[in-house]
Amino acid sequence: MKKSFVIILLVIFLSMPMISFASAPTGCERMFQRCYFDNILTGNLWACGVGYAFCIAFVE
Amino acid sequence: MNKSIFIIILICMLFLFGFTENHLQLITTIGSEEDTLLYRWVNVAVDEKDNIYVTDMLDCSVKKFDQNGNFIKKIGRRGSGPGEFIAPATIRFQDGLLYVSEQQTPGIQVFDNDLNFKYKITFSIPINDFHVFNENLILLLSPLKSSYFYMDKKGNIFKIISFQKELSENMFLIMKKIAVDNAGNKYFLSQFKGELNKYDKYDKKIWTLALKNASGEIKFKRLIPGMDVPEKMLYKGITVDKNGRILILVGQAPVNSSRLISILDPSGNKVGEIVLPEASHSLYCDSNNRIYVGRNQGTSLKVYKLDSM
Repeated sequence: MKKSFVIILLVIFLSMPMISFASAPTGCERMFQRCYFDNILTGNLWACGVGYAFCIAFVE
Repeated sequence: MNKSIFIIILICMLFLFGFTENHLQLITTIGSEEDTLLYRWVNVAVDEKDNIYVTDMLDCSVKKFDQNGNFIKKIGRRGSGPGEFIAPATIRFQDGLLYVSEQQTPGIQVFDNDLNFKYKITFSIPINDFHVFNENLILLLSPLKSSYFYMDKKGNIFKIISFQKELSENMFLIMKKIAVDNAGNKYFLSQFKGELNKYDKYDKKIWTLALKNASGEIKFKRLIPGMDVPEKMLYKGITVDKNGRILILVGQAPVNSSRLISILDPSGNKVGEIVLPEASHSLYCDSNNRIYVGRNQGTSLKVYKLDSM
């Protein structure tokens, strides 16, 4: 029971970016999303922020 | 009556056009959408012979061009070894050496001006921007710390200067870019907060300025729990010309977003502005008052002569 609950919570947590991006994500947001999943285990989410900042610098 | 209004508007447009042309003279263009010279250049540095070095993020490389834009050499491929990059970002030239940082990997690779790898400065702090005073005095800005750091060539941090305590812990509001003038004064631009800080060469804070060019407040979007990300970048770049004037590329403006360069004197007073012909992601001014800007998503680099005003 507890295990199922943890799995459900984990699925919801990991799905949150997907939910946020449901409405027409920009290219930079998609990149941020990929970075988020790549780095969620290492905790280096700062790298996603830096990458996102570089990305939106190119957006007019 | 209508004809008079039309003529007045025409004269005004010609005046505005002339105003821009008077202050920008195209010198060189490197790359285009039709060639593969540049895939997405991010940052630029210029050596004492006016050779141009750029970091090309999509090509995982550093490229060298002469002052006329002729390709000379390239170094780099995807990887984490010496002379390899994942996403090369900031590039600086000082005393015959070229310093290159990466977007997501802490550390700075050092090359000679022929792009031969010399050594790597390793440290643990992620960096957002840096400035090289000399080989043993490098100033670092981190996206995680509301401070700036002085580091030697071995990666030892020996001095930390804290900015005034930031009200927000959001990393985007902490992120800053740096420009340093010939007298050693440091200008720190908060790209998302719209704030400019000046520190003297002794690291004493001189002034703080709330910039007013950008349109409106920055809007944030919650993409993941605990991290709100801004939808736009208010200010994209900062550089200092040979006269000590501060040039700031405005990212979001009522008109001319990413094209408007605001010019401030060393006291922070606005003394002029320039409108670039095309939008740019970056701004750099060399010691000859030539400015380097991008266009077409970084597939080309344009060099303009900045005439004195």
